[in-house]
Amino acid sequence: MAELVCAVGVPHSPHYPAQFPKDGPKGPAPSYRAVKSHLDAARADAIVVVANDHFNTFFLDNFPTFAIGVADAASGPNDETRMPRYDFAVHTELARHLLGTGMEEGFDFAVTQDFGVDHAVLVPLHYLTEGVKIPVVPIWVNAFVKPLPSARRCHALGAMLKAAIEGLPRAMRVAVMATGHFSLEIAGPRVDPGERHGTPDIGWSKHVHRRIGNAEIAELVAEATPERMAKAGNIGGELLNWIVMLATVGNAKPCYLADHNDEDGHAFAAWRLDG
Amino acid sequence: MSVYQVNKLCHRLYHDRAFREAVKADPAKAIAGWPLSEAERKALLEGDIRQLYEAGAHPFLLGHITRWNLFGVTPAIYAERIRDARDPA
Repeated sequence: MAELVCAVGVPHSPHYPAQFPKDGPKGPAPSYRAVKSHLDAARADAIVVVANDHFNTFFLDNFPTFAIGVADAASGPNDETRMPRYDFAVHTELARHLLGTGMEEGFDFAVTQDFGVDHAVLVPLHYLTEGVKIPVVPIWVNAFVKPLPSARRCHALGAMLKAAIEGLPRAMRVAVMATGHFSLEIAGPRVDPGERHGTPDIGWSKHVHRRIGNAEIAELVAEATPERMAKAGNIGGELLNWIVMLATVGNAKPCYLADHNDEDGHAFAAWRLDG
Repeated sequence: MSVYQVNKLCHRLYHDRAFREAVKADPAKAIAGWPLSEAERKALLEGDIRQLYEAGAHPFLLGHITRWNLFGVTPAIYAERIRDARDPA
């Protein structure tokens, strides 16, 4: 049977790759490297990436609440992010299995068989892998077009994914990666003066960080209402990506959790689940 | 009236270089064929970010306007106008 060996959570800011070299000393690079060391040690055969699209793969003509990419390969970034372009393999067998199990268990994914991915998938993979050579299964969560899925539903989705991964009759090692911020406003009223972004609620981000460190996931799910996340910024809903992932780690505390700082409403965390 | 067409237009600006260049060259002419309400058309041409946001334009799409200073909206002007806006109901 397949084994869930590692879970990680990181931010996905499109500004990072051009600003902060992977091997450099500045910004998020050291924290990405710390997370990468755990992901590397877990020797994953596939990575399930839980992220939100920013109107680059999907648009409002047909915007999915939950979607999965089932193809042989994909590429990106399909937005204006300044970073290397990657063509990467999709783990088709795992993707089909997650789709099928989802259908049986009441999670009716939208499916795309021909897609590019944006910075939310590729910025983390850029920092956390060597050229995205590990096959990926992208899963998208609607984190910023109202109404959002509930935190409870996202947690249930994560629990389904964990059971589905562990039910795949093939010896393989699977990692789950969530990407996104807890507090961030882009181009909305809560931006800083003269800026395109702002961090409206660093206190909430610290609180989420503490909950993650203490493995208080049920409490976090109860607190992460649409109103609470919206107060933290117009993409505060990216916490939902994390909640999907957090459902796969059970009661485990992270083996790595970067200290929170006062500028960034996000976290870097890793869990080793293979004993 | 639906703000959907405004969102669609902003999306097109980001993903369609030819349309973006046309808007740079002559904004009124470039959007003349779009099925916008008169209020939406006027707000776009005047760079009235606040009104567009309050009408329900998605900030991730609306924000694309500033990447190329379209409709006379620089990042500084955008920030000033969006900070005055209220969240749509």
